[in-house]
Amino acid sequence: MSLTELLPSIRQLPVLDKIRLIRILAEELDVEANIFPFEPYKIYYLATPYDMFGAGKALMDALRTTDTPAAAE
Amino acid sequence: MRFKYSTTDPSQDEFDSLPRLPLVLQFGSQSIEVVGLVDSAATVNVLPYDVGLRLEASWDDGKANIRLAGTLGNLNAMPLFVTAQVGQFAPVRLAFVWVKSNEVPLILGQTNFFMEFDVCFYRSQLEFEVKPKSR
Repeated sequence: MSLTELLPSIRQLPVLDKIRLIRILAEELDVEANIFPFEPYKIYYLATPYDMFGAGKALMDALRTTDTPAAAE
Repeated sequence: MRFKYSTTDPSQDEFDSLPRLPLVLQFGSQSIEVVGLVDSAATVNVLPYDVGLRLEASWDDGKANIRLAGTLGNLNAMPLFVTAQVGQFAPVRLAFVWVKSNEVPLILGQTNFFMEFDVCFYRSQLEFEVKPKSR
């Protein structure tokens, strides 16, 4: 059966069933190589320094210190 | 939809506030509420080990052929595809690299959170905006 033949029937589905159908098809497609978003053995980078709590306040405190007239001289 | 920057601990202050996004993840019949760090410097979405287990996903060393590097050190990871819902937006499929470590936040990165959503940061207002990508 072709997509052209299927479409009229699919269009008659209730909205929730259409969403379910999209989800089912998406899940099946995920595993196909042509849309696989990650390459095996490739290295992916996380550049953010996580859990640096307190560093922001320390930096702002230092900035304020340099903004005082005494520090500017 | 706008969200507030937030902290994770009472000892943290405004300077520690980060854009954390509440969302619902669904995998198979499991559905859980989580909070993800919206991180434009992360190349990929990252799922901590315990969150994958809560989704009743099965770790497979044979599929752990992706490597994460950077500030968290080197970690092996396997791909995990999850349905995610943000607020009342239509559910989307997010591709996570699932790591066998809980020393990692749930990260929403460039592939593919930022491919599915447009994000605007308003740090001066301690807010950020998330909306589905423009078609």
